[in-house]
Amino acid sequence: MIHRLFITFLILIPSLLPAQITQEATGIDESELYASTKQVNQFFRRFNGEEDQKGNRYYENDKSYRDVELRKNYLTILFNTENNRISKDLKKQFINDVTSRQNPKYLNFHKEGWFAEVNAVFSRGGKDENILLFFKIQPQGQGYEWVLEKASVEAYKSSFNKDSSSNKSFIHPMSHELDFMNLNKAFRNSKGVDFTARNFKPDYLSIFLYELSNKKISFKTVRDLKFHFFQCAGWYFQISEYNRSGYNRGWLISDLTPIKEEQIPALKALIYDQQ
Amino acid sequence: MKSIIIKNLSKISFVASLLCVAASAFAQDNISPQRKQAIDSLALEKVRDLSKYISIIGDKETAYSEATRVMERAGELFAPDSEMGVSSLTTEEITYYKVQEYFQRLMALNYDKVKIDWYDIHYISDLEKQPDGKYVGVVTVYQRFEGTSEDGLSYKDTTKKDITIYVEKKKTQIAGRTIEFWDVMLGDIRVTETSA
Amino acid sequence: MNRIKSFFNLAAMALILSAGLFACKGSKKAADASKDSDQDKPVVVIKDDQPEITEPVERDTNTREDAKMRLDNYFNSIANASGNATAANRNINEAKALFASGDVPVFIVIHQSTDGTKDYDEPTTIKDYLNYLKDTGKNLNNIAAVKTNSSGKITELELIRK
Repeated sequence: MIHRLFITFLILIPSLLPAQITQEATGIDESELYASTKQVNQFFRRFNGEEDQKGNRYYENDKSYRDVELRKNYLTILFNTENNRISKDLKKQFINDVTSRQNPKYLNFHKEGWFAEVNAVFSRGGKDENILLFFKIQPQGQGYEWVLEKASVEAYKSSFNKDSSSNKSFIHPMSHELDFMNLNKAFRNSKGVDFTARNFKPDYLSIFLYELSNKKISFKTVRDLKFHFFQCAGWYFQISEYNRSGYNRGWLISDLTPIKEEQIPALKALIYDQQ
Repeated sequence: MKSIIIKNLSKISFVASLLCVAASAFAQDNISPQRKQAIDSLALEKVRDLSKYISIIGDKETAYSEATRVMERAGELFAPDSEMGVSSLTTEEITYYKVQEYFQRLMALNYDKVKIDWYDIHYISDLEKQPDGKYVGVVTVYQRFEGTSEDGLSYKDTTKKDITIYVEKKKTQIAGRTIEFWDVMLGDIRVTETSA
Repeated sequence: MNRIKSFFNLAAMALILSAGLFACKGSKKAADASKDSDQDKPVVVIKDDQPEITEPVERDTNTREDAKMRLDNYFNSIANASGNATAANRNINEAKALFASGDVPVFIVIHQSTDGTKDYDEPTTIKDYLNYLKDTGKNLNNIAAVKTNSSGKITELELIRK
């Protein structure tokens, strides 16, 4: 069924385009550009059924605004079809769930439950280094802004590998009577992290900000970007941009999985690369 | 850049003042869909103007003085410090250029013939309010470039251009009359080479 | 009778003109202007609702309608010059002659709500607008209103999106 809809929709796309579009011998077939989900904003609008095939916005009073069939058509083309990990059944379940008439699920740009993962390149001592930065949207002043929520820096990780064995280093319980003079040996011979409490969790973002302000690292460029969504209860999905020829291009769902509420923190930790 | 227009206006003998005040009381929800569309079209026209200016600047037939004048006009469309972030199919990483530098490079391109075409397609995002009350949006357009050198060799590419637009309601007094207008400025532009 | 009307009209013009000139001598600092910038205008503003004095107004209306038409023709020719810079520049110069100066303000209405509220693009000058038509090759606006001075030159132009 979904497959049939998808084909119908693709066939429909060119016929819905303005008449002046021509397929240039040297360029791109313009209907491919119409089919492409060109902005994340367009992903939102298509997901929610808030625009027509030419990208013109529907408003709340428009008949087709958030129309179930329109949404189903759009959702079918919002998947990266080259990803075999997402089965047809799973897609079908997802599409039926988010377009259900009783409890439809929409994406909301301004609400919590989605964030950006930016793969940026920084320079450390003349050498390039990849750093993952996670941003979320928050209300600020008269509008909104993207704010840094987490950072994942490979270089920091080794400093926080804690020895969990039975013969791990420790600061003995009577050290206080000697004014902790034994720190001299402790810090010389072991990693500081071995002396932290069991519930200690490193905060890479703080270290990153410290290094940035001390010019230990400097921004060079952005390499890649993706978005993670937890806004549809019961589901996690991820979108990435595909720059390729054909109709299946632009911002598309690159990963999808059903998820229980209690599993979300573990998955987020995995995404932030900070278990 | 903006000051050029302002300077011109101030020359008018009867222009007594030019007050630019952001009308902060303007709530997003007060704008009807029809007005939103008019504002979208206004933003899109600025992008089309830029497209046209780029074509003129890049055209080898354009006289130097004319290209310089148009470059200045194109520059007036942008907010200060606007940058172009360019990536190609081979290098995904973004290389940064100042907008003026980009125009200069375009004018100095070492081709005998340059052909710049724009696809009819465009996409206009929603306008979102920033913390300072200005609206910000992104207009996406596609450009086809073809440069041919004297020996007949040609370079072709198609690029997607995601153009930042800032929209702000301003007030000005000209000829004793208060005009509330929508100030549209272009900002950073992300240029991605796309697969044909 | 007509002569008397004309005389009154002339006298009114002279008064407005002298008031304008007088004001021009005064300080024209931008900050003061918002108080009463009308005084600074060395022009005669012809409004559509001008009272009784029929004949000269009619003539002016005709002049304005004529100017509008001529201007619209120029706008089209300039926008459609398609790369012929010489032709476009000639038309620009001819069109400019209809204006009091190159710095005459141009207001562009991009939307008019049912309640009459107008949304404008950023105001520009006629000199810049004519070049804009040449550079972009598009004439998107109709002429909504013109104001002229005593010598029939345009001192203010309002356009509206087609």
